Amino acid sequence: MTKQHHVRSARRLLAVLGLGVIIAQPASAEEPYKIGAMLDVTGGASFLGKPEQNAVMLAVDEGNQAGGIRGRKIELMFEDTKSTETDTVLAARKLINQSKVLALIGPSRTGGAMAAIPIVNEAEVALLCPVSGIGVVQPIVERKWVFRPGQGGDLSVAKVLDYAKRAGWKKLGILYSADAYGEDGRDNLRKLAPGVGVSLDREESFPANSTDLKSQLAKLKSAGVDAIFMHGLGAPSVIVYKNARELGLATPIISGHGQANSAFRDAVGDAVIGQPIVGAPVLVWNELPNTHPQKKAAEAFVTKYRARYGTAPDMFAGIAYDSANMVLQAIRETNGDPQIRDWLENNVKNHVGITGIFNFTPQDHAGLRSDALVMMIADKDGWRLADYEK
Amino acid sequence: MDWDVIPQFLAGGLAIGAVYGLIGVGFSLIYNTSKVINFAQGEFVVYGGLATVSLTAASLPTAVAIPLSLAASVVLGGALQSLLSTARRGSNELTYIMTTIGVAIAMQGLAQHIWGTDFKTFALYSDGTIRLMGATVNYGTITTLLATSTVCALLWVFLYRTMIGKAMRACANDSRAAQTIGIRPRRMVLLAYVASAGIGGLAGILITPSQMMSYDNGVPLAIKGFTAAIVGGLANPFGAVVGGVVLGLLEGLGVGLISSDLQNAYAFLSLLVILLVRPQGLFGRAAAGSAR
Amino acid sequence: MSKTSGWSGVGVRQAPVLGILAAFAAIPAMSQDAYVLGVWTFLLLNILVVIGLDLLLGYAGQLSLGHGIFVAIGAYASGLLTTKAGWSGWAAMPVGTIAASLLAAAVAVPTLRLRGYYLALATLGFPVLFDAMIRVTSQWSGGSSGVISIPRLRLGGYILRDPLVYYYLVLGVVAVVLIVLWNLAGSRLGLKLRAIHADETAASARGINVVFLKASVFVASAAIAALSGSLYVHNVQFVAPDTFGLNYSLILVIMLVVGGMGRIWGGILGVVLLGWMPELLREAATWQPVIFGSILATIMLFAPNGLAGVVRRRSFFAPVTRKVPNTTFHRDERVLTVNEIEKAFGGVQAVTGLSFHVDAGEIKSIIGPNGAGKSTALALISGAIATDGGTIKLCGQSVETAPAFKRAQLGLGRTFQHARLIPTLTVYENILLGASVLGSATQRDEHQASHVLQQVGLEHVAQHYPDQTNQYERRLTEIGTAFAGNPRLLLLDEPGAGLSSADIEQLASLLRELKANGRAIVLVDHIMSLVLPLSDSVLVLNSGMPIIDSDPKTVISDPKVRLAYLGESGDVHA
Repeated sequence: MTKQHHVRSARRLLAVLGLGVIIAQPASAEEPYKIGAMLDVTGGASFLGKPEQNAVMLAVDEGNQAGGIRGRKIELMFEDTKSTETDTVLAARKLINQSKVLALIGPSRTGGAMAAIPIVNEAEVALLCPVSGIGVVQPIVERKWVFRPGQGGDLSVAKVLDYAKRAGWKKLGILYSADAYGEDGRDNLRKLAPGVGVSLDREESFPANSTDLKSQLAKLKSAGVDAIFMHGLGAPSVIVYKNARELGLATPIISGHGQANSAFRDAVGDAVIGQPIVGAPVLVWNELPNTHPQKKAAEAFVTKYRARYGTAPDMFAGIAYDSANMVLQAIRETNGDPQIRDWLENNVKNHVGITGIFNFTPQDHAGLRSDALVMMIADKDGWRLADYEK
Repeated sequence: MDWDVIPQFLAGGLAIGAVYGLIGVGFSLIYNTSKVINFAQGEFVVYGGLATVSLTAASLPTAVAIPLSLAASVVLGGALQSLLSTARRGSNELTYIMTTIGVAIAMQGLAQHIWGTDFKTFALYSDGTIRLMGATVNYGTITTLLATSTVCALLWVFLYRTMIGKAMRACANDSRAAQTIGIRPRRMVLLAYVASAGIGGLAGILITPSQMMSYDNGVPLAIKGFTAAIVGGLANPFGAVVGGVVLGLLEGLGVGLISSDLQNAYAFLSLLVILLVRPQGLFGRAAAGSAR
Repeated sequence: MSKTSGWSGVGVRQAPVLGILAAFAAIPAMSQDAYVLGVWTFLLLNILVVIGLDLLLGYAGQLSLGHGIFVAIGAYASGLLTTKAGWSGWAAMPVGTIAASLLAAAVAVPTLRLRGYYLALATLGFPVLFDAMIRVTSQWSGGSSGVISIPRLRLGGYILRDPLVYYYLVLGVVAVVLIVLWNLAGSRLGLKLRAIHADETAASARGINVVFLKASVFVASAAIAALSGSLYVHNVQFVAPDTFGLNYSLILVIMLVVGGMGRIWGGILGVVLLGWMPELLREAATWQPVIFGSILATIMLFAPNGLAGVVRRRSFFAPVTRKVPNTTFHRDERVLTVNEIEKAFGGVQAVTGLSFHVDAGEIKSIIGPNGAGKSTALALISGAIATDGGTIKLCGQSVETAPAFKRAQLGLGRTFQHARLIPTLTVYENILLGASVLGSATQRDEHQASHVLQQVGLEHVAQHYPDQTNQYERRLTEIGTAFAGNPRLLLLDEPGAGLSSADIEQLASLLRELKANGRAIVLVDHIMSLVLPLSDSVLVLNSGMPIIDSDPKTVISDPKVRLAYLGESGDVHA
C-alpha cells in the first residue's frame, strides 16, 4: 500500500510542477486494482473450483471491458489451492502479502475456507467464500472479515424441511458424506428438524471414495423413514441413486445442493428421474416466472457463460460470479481503499445477484435466505421447477 | 436391527471385494516374479475404465471397445516393465516402490489431461436385478463375480497347467535356480506385468458402469487392492482374491452392523489384525522371518 | 591417517550442519516478504519431519507410509488443548510429542519384530484410521471441519505473530534437532542403524539389539514429527483431519528419497527442491503432477540413492594408534557345549541330534557334503535361527532361547558363508561395529578395532568401502569383524572359499594366532589343506546327522566318511 501511495503522491507532485505532460499516461495504465481468487482448480474439489474460476474470470473481463473502475484496470490474481488446506494457507498469504490484493474470493471447500480465516482476520482483508458450511461466518465475532455469498447447508436444509412438510413426510433419514460438507448438512438437519415437527430417525455416512451404498440404503429403509436427505459430493452421490433403483427402494431421496451441477446429472442418468433436489434458480432460469427477480440476471449470465465456455454454468459458478461482482462494486463505491469489508457489510442490501438476493448485516455474513433456493424435480433431460414453486 | 438386511450387506461386500481381489492379483503376480510392489496398479484400473468410456463415447460397440482397452492396458503394463528394467545397479525394493509411485503420480496427471476431472461412466449391462437369498443383486455384481471367477480359473490353468505358467512359478520361487534350467526371468517378469495390467484394466472396465470412474480413483483402489493382497498373502495370487472378498465382506458387514462412519477403517483394522496374528497373510508361506 | 579420531575434530565434523543452518539463517536477508518467509517456515517444518524420517528410513531402513499421522497428532494435541482446554501452547507441545511416541511404540512392538516393510503396511492405513477417529469423536475434536482459531504462541505478553520471528523460532528448533541427529547419525549409533538397514542378521551377529534400536528410532522420529505438527498449528491456526493425510505422508517419503536417504542433508535438499518446484513450474500448473511424477521415477531409476547419493559419505571414524595387548583366555576351559540340537525346515530335517563341545584354544572343524547342515548348525549356535530342540551352552550359560545379539554380547563372534559386510560402512567401521559389544567407554572399541585392523593387515584400506576392496580383503574384514568384539568363541563359515593358496596360508596363520590367544574356534570349510592341519578335531555331518567326531587323521581314514563325504572315488581333494 505505502509504496503505491508514494508513487501516487510523487506523480501528483510532479504534475503540479508542470511536468505533467511528460509523465501523463492514459489513466488505464495506472496501477490496476488487484483482486485475488484462490480456488480448488485441481484436486478433489476441482469440479467446484473450475467453474468458479471461469465465472470469476468472466466477471473481471466484463468489468474491464466496461472500462475498468475509474479508468483503472482490474487485475485478477489467481492461485490454485489444490483442494488442500496447506495450499490454501499459502495461496492466501501469497495473494495478500505479495500480490497485495484488495479482497479475496475462494476457496471452494468449507475446510479450505476454515484454514484461510485466521489469515484474513490478521491481515484484515475481506474474504468471500463460495462454500456451504455455516461455520465460516459463525460465530460472527471471530469471522468479521469473512462473507459467505452462497447457498449453504443451513439454507438448503431449511428448504428441504419445508418441502418435506408440504409432502407430509414426518420421519427423515440422512445419508451424508464423511467430510466437512456432509457433516454440515447433518448438523443443520439435527438442529432444524425438531423446529418444524420432523424427526431425524437415522443417520448414515459414506466416505468420499465409496463404491457401494446398498448397505447404508438398506439400513435407512429398515428404519422406515418417509424420505432420505442425501447431502454428499462426488461419485458416491451418483451411486446412491443407482443403488436405490437396484434395490427397488420406493423411499424418495432428496438431494442437497451439492448435486446441482451437470457432471452429476450426466452421470446419474435415468436413475434420478422423479427425485427432488434443492438448488439455485439459475439452473432452471427459463422456467422461472417472468416476475421472478433473478430471471433476467440469470438468463444474461447463462448466455454469456455458455458463449465463452461452451457449457451451462452450475450453481457454484453463479456464486463465484456474484462474489466477484460484489467485490468490484465495493471497490467502485469505496474508492478502492481497504474499506471493502465495511461496505459489503453495510451496503449490500437487496442486491440482486445470479444466485439470490443478498443482504449482509454486521450480524449476518451469510447474505441469502432460503428463498434463494428452489426445489426441483429431475426429469428426463435435467431438472424442472417443482410445481409449487411456479 | 433388522436382520433380514444382512444378505444385502454381504452381497454388497462380495461385489466390491471381488474387485479388490482382482486388483490384488496384479500386486501379487508382479511381486512374486520381480519383488516389486507396483503402486501404479490402480492406474491400470483407471485407464482401463476411462479408455472404455472414451471408446464407447466414440460410438464403438462395447464388444470392440473392451478388447481395445484391455490391449491398451497390456501395452501400458509392458511399457512400465521396460521402464523399470532400465534401473541402475543399487536399486532395491524401496527404490522400485518409489519409482512406481512416481509413475502412478505421472499417470494420474496425464489422465486428468486426457479425461478431465469429472467422473465418467458407460453402459455395459442392463440395469436389471435378481433376488438372491434375500439380497437384491444387480447384473453388474453378477458380471463382476463371473469375470473374477473366470480370471481365477484362467490364471490357475495358466500357472499350473501350462509350461510357461509353471516356468513363471519356478521363477517366483527362485529366479536364479530357474535361470539354470533355461527359464528367462526377464520374460517372466514382463509377462507378469502384462497380465497384471490386463487384469487391472479389466477391473476398471467392470466397476466403471456401476461405480463411475474419475482420473483420481487410482490411489485409493491401489491401496485397497494392495491390502487385499497382503491379507490374502502376497505370495499367493489366489489368496489375494480371497483377501479381497474378506475385506469386502468385512466392509459390508461393518457398515451394516456397526457404523458407516468407519467404512474405510474396517479394511485397515483387519490389515492390522492380520499383521499381528499372521504376518504372512491368510494363504502366504511363512516368508517373513523373525528378526531375532 | 592422523593420530586420534582424525579429521573428526568438532569443527570439521559440524561444518556441514553449521553451513546449512547459516544458509537458512541468511534467508530473511534476501527477502522479508511475509509470503516468502511463510513458505520457508513450512519448508523448515517439513525438514524437521523429514530428517526424523531419514533416521528411520535412511539409517534404520524402516519405511513408514503414514508418518503424517504423527504430525497430525502433534497438531491436534496442540490445537485441541489450547482451544478447548485453554492450555498454553508450550504446555500442549510435550503432550502431542508424548502421545505420538506412545502410538509409535505400540505399533513398533508387533511390526518391527518382522523383517521387510511390515511397518509400511501397518502405517499405510493410519491416515484413514485417524480420519475415522476424528469423525467419531467430532463432539470435541471438531470432526471433518477441523479445529480453527488456534491461538498463536506467546512469550510473556508478546504474541509470536511476526513471520520473521516465527521463522527464527522454527529454525531454532530445527537447529537443535538437526545438530543432535547429525551427531547421532555420525556416531556408533549411526553405524549400528546402517548395519540394521543393510543386513539384520549380520547386525544381530555383531551384538546389536535390532528390534530395540528400530523401535527406538521409530519412536524418536514420531516425536520429532509431532513437534513439527505443534509448530505448524500455532502458525497456521487451523488443522483438519486430512491436512496431514496419505498425500502428505507420501510426499514426505518422496522428498527424502529424491534428496537422498541416510545423509541427513539429503532430506533437506529434497524438501527445498520439491518445496519450490511448484513455484518454478507455475506456467505449467496443470502439468505439475506429470512432471513431478516423472522426476521421481527418473531419479529413482538412475540415481537410486537420491541426489545426495551421488557423493560418497565421509566417515567420522578413523583408526587410532593406541596399542592394545592381545587378550588371552584361559586354555582348556569349556566354551561351547552343544547337546542334541535339531532343526527342520518344513518336512526336511536339516540338523538332527548334533552334539559336540569346544574348549578354549581349540579348533573344531565341521565338514560334510553340500547340504549336510553345516551352515544351519552355525546359524543355530549363533542364534540366527531358532532350534527345534536340544540345548546350547556358551561359557556355562544356556543360550538356546537367547536372541543372536545376546549370544554375541556373551562372547560369540561369527562370519557368514557369503561375506556379509555392511556395504554402506567402511572397512574400519565394519570392524568397529564388531567391536561395539565392548562398549565405547574410554574408546575401548576404537582401540580394539584399530588393533584388529592392524592384526589382519588392512590399514591401507581402512577408509575404503567394501566394494572398493578385493575378495581377500573383504574376507579378512569379515573375520576381523567377527573377532573384534573379543569373543571367546568364533564361528567361521567357509573363510577360505575363493582364496588363493597363498592367501589361505596367511589365513591359517591368523587362525593359529587366534587359537594361541585361547579362543575357541568352530571352522566350517571344504578346503582340506586349511582344515586338516589346523584342527584339533573334526566333526563330519551328513544329511544333518553327525557321523564321526575325532582327530583329523582318524576322520579322513574312516570308511564311513570316505563313502558319505568323499564319494565313490575316495579321493581327498585339496
